[in-house]
Amino acid sequence: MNTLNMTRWFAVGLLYLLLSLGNVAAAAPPIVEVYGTHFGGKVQYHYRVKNNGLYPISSVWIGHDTLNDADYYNDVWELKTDISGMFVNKKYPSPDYFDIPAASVTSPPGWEVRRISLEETEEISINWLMADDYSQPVAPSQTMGGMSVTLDKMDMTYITSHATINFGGRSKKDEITVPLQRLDITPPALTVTLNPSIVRENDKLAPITATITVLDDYDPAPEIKLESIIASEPMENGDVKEVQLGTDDRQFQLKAESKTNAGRAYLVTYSATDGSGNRTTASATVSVQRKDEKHEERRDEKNKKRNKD
Amino acid sequence: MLAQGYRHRIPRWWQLLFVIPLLAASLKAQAAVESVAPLATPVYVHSSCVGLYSYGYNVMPPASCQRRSPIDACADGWSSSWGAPLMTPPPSPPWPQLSDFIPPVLIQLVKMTGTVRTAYQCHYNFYTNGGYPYGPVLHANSPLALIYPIATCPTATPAYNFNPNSGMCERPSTCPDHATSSSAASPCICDTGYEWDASHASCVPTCPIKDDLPPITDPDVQTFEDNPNLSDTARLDQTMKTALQKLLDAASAAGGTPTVGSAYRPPAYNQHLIKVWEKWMEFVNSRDPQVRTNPSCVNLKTKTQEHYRRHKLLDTQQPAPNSRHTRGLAVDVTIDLPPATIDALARDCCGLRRPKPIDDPVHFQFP
Repeated sequence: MNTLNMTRWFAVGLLYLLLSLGNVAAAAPPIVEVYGTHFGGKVQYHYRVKNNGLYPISSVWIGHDTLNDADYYNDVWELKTDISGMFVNKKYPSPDYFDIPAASVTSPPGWEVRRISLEETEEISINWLMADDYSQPVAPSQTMGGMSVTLDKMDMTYITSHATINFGGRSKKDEITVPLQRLDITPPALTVTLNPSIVRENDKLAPITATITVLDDYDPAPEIKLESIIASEPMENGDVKEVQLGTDDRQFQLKAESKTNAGRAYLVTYSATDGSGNRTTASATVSVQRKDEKHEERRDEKNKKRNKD
Repeated sequence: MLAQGYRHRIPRWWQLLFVIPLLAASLKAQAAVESVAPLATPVYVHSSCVGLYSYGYNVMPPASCQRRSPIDACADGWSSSWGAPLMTPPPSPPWPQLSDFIPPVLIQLVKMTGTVRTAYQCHYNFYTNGGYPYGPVLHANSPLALIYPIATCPTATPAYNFNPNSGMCERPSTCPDHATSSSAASPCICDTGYEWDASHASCVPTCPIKDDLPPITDPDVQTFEDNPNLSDTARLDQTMKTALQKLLDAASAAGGTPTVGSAYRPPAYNQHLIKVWEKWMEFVNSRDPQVRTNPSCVNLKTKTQEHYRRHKLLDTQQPAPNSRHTRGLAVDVTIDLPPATIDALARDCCGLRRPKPIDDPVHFQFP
């Protein structure tokens, strides 16, 4: 039997098998991707769903893990932090009481979003779904973005939870829960420069300004925090002033003082965390140049000059 | 050259493995006639007998009304004084080669009296459960009689038609789209995911959302079902009962007008609420043309929505599977006082708290 014939018949058979087993091939689960960004002091989580199956997707339910079984007693409601502005200036009961503030959420055209909680528990979930019967579902092989929600603070459950996907026109048993896939796994690139980086010892507080550059592949404005200021020798109260650790504080004062011959060096550390929770740190130093050190430097310079002459 | 040599070769056995299923699939689609015996022996009825049969077999018809052949039935109208009937070749296929249900077949009996020729015509018409008859064709100046073959075919989908040629109830064995039959004698069965339409003529997609809410059998649950606003404080846990009374007193004393909502819920009723909620969510999440247009879906959606609204459920909150309400350890109370006041009252009077003071401000439970 020659190879060409064998290949030809095999192709016919394979085509037949594929046509017969088409439904089995439809089992590829959808993918729901997520990344976070910062803006205006808030955190925004963005979701994107890729339909890898054969049936159109009609609903994306974030933070609700069915464990892919039919037992709702073990469902997990995952999102810990509520949506920014939720319930603000709302009076219970009122028709719009559970409405999500428009500024805190985006939906794809023709889709809407609901916040769903479980009675007696504090966790919530967020459900994007077609707004009406005439909206367009996510067709097979299509990708749909445009789903985002804004929080007042970062909450990693919005990154690490699950999504339950419904397929319009299919029975509930076809719904599937998939883990969210984090798109941004790279920490931001962070550099810190302190100015001045050398101060002369004068026992006074020296104003320091930090210049920070940060770059992230998804988050245009990662969160910057002044993490710590430590010194190479024991510090006293008042050696560091006008500082707020844990915030984006770029201006503070350090005492230009040293109690050892080696001189004092301050190590200032900042962190940058992108909206997806990837964190990096960078440090810079401010050295205190001792008075004696200065004097010795001058004497050395004079000696050098004399030797030349 | 290689390909030409191949064309005339006998396929090898493994090649047939691929071809046989394809041939089988194509044969399956070919039409055939599926026939079953009528439920009763068909009778051919002269028009003068029709009334008797129209009213069923309660009235035993005279023997003359039962004939095995339309020609004999036609002869019922033949006057015995005319002598033995002769039959002229009918203008359409003669019995028993009648091959079609339409048009009516003219059977002509001829009386010869000397040279006088008298025709007696019967229009052979079908009157079965297949949607006939077509109207009788009247022939002027002709004595007319209608002969109705009456046969009761089994009720089935698609429907059987009685074929007087074969004496059998028949229907094409080619099933409609999305239906299959295991053999010519077996009825068509809609494929998985399809069901017969109202006329039982074609298979239409089933509603993907099932009408599978379990029926309520527990009288206790039925009481709540009939009165969703029922506030069963009698079956609260004793500690909660006491705390509730203290809370109501404290709220009233503070100038509020507290009203008690849901208190104790039987576990089975709570489960029913969850099932109703989930069923409604299936519709909410399934924006599909089929669900929108399929009549069974539309009906089920309307029914589910009414049920859902009757229980005052919220799209934004699923009833808890292990709710404290089912143990008598939670109660919903609406209090028209400032939130901080409510929380202070609940804490100080009776050790109650609201786990979700904003999200679910009426729900009180022990810490």
